Amino acid sequence: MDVHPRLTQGIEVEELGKTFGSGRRGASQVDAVAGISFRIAPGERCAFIGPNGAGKSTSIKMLTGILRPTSGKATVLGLVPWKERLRLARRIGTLFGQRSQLWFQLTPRRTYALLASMYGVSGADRDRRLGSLGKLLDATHLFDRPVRTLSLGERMRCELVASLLHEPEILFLDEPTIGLDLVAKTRFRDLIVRINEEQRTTIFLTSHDVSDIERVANRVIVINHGRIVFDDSVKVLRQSLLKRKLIGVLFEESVPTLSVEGAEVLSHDGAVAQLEVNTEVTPIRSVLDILLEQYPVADISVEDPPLEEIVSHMYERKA
Amino acid sequence: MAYLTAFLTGARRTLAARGDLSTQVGMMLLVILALSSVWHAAAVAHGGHVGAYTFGELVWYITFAEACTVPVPARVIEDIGEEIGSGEIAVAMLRPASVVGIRMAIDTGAALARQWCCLLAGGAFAWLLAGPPSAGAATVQAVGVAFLALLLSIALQHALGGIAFWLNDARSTWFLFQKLILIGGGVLIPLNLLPHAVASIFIPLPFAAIAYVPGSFAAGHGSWGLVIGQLCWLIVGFGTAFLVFARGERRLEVLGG
Repeated sequence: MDVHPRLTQGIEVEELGKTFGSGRRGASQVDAVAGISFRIAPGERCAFIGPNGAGKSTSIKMLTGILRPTSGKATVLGLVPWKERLRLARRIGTLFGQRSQLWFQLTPRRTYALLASMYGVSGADRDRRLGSLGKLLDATHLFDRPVRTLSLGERMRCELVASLLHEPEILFLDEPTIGLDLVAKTRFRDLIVRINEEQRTTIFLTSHDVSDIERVANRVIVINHGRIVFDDSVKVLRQSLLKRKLIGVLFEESVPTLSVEGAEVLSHDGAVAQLEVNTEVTPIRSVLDILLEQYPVADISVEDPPLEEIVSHMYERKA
Repeated sequence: MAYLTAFLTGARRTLAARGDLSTQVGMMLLVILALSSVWHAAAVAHGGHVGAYTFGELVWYITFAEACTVPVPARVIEDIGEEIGSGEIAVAMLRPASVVGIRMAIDTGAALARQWCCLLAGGAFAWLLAGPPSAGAATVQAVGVAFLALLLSIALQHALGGIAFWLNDARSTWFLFQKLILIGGGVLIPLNLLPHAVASIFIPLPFAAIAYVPGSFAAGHGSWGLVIGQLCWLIVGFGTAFLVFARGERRLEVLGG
């Protein structure tokens, strides 16, 4: 796959704001984005995260030119998105996990033909790119099947091909792994990283899944109530905030008392319990070993705390 | 090129959904049969004519009027409204092409494929019911007029569907549009059979250009004046659709994912 020759500009955002609602009645106005500023360099993999209603999707829609901001400035690849939407569209790719760009009645190949003609990609270039993307994403065998017969994981791979067909310089991904099973998620994340490494495509990702951020991004911007509350590397985020893990346990029979050294029991009701571990103090493995050795464990899961909790920790830290 | 590919994609989409297509054509034949029976009874009661029409002309009128309205379901308005209200339109806005242009090209391809199927099946059925069209050359012209009627229906539906940019809902609009086409468009009754005062109101309206004009040509009662009126409405329809979408896209407010 060729390296894109025009990787000189990224995303620049300065005091960008968006207020929804009537301008005549102040009470009905909602500040979805309240003056955010950041810069993303070409080739970066940036996660843009936050709880529901934080302003993520509104920000992406402004950066792709769908929405006009009410204040501030932004350029993407040197273009003002809402003023030069059609020009920008030729140079960016988008993938919305909850919205499909493929026609369900047709095969992906038919949709690709239409997209290629919209982006001015010649037939020869289209076939060459479909060949290399199909190989990269292991999706060639899916191109001639009607979209309605594809599993969600297969469809998402085909959606990604659609987003990359015109070799975009920036790829905007909005909840791309939503609804995928664990195997498909892992595969999808690896693919995004490969695309970034092989094509130097800038990645701008929003997700509710902490694992998406940890595995795909090298930088994280956290937004809440329309404001940026964290902007640093994933390493810093992990060291400072992702050190807590939640362990869910299902016992084979009711356990009268539960006490595990290094873990706090958050809830315990007979055969079901939830514990929390600070991995900076106690390695997760030692807690799992104790549980498996001392209790009749039927099933166990280890999860990150929900994003909402991580964000609220950020607020506590700030306070 | 993009618009031609979109047009062909729409046509392929229609032809791929064979079950849906067969149902639509089948329903249209049923309607032609039902209306023909009514007109047959009326013609017999009036010495073989209803107003200026013979029974055969009425059957060909109905066939073309139906073949211009069945291929573009009035729910296109509702679909556009839903795409705007749900934010689905955002995906289309991320493409380097006109949202309404691509949408209309796809819908035209899809509707034209359906219209040809309706005309072929409906034409064969009309021939069986009433014999060949009385004015052969006019029927050939009617095919061209039917295509213009299809374009006008698509343009008007996009212009009306675009109202959802302001109202976030276009359901009431499609209901109104459907009824206006049915009565004011002359699908059920040729407009020149209505009382003169009523006909003079409906005939200049765009709804008549969608059903009454192609129906009249197929029955051998068409005139170039009607086609000029149809072309004028076509310019107004496309102009309004592009204007509504251009204004609507600028004021789009899609909150959340």
